[in-house]
Amino acid sequence: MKYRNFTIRMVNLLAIAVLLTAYQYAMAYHAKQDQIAQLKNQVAQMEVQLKEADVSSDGESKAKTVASAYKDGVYTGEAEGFGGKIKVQVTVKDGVISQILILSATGEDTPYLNMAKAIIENMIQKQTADVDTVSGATYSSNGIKNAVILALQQAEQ
Amino acid sequence: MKKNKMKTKDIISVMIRALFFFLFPAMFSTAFSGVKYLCAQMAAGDGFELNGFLIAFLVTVMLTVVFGRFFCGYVCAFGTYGDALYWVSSAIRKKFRKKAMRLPSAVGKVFRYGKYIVLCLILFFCFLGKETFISGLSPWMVFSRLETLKSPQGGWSLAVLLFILLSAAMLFEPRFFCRFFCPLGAIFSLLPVLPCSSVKRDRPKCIHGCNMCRNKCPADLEIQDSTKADSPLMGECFSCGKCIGVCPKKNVHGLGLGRDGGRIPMLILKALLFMVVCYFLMKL
Repeated sequence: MKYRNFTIRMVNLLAIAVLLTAYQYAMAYHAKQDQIAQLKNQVAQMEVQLKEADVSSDGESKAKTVASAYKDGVYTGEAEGFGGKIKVQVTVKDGVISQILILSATGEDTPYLNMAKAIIENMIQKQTADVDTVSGATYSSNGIKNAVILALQQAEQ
Repeated sequence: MKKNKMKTKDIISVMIRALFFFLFPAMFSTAFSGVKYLCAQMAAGDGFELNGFLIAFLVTVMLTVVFGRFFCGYVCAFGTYGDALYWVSSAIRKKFRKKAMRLPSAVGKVFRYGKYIVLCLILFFCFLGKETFISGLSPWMVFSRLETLKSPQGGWSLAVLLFILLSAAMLFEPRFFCRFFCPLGAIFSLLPVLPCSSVKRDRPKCIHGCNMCRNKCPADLEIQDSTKADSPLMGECFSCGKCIGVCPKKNVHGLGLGRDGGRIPMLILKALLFMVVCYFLMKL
């Protein structure tokens, strides 16, 4: 057969594609199941909390304000990414880091920058700039991280 | 007339490679990061998200199936770097009237498996979740940083040493990295390539004992016979077209529009297509 090698390779490639797609579907299904279980858990927890809040007296002020490390305001910071400077804008509201925006990152290629942006969610969740860089987009995420650190320095009480 | 045609094609080849080198130097790491991503996700038991890296990898694979390893021959900045190194050493060699030393074919045939070993090693570490460690050893990373005209992070390291050693090797053997070490090339070399995009010759019409195509081939390939079944070794072909240009009987075919069609228009078309694709992948 004249194109025997081509045919074998094509069949292999399609087989791999099919396997990966099947894997993807299986994982997506499991992820959905996990999510459903987690949400059910959360709902149950919230119901318990509500009951307890009803029971406990209204005399106690619920708002336990923890002294925040940051002053409210909007701050900018700039640091070296992979191919140039990354500029960020950090917003602190009610003592909490509420938003981190990337103002400019011209030296970063889109796939790397998009992957690095995951570090922003992490920083807001943990309320600190001291988080792990994103593996596979080390330089870009490090640039974002350092820029946020510089911005937060201005925000310190 | 023939000499002129060859020169034009060579000039255009160099220009295309230079363009990709300066515009999209990170293409190879982006595409390969797609592979590492697939691995890491499977190791963690997670599904895949169509991120920039995965799309870059899938698109590059599909284009390679259709057009052959044009990516390796023209788009990859590391390949262009290797070509530039070899061109410099050839020029020096010509000045001193020294003959080129090529790796014996038998050695090349064995060494080419090196890239599959490198690929397996990298994927193995990714499966273990140690992607950062293996990337720390990557000469590609060193090269990427150099391109942004900065010193590699972490200063002198094993990765820098590897990069220097590979650069030295590429001075003496064309495409040393590509043929024996490149994990992305390993994947490409296993892909099916459309028969119309691969290079072949009418073996019965060859001049007895000629071998000019093989001598010119940077991958030291015996071009497959169009009258026989296709050869698995053609996975090593970078679609550079040097064999077609050098054949005294114009007996090597492929890479052109139609069987004997113009290679230059096809080359420019492919370059434009890849450039548009790269722009969408990297800059949008």
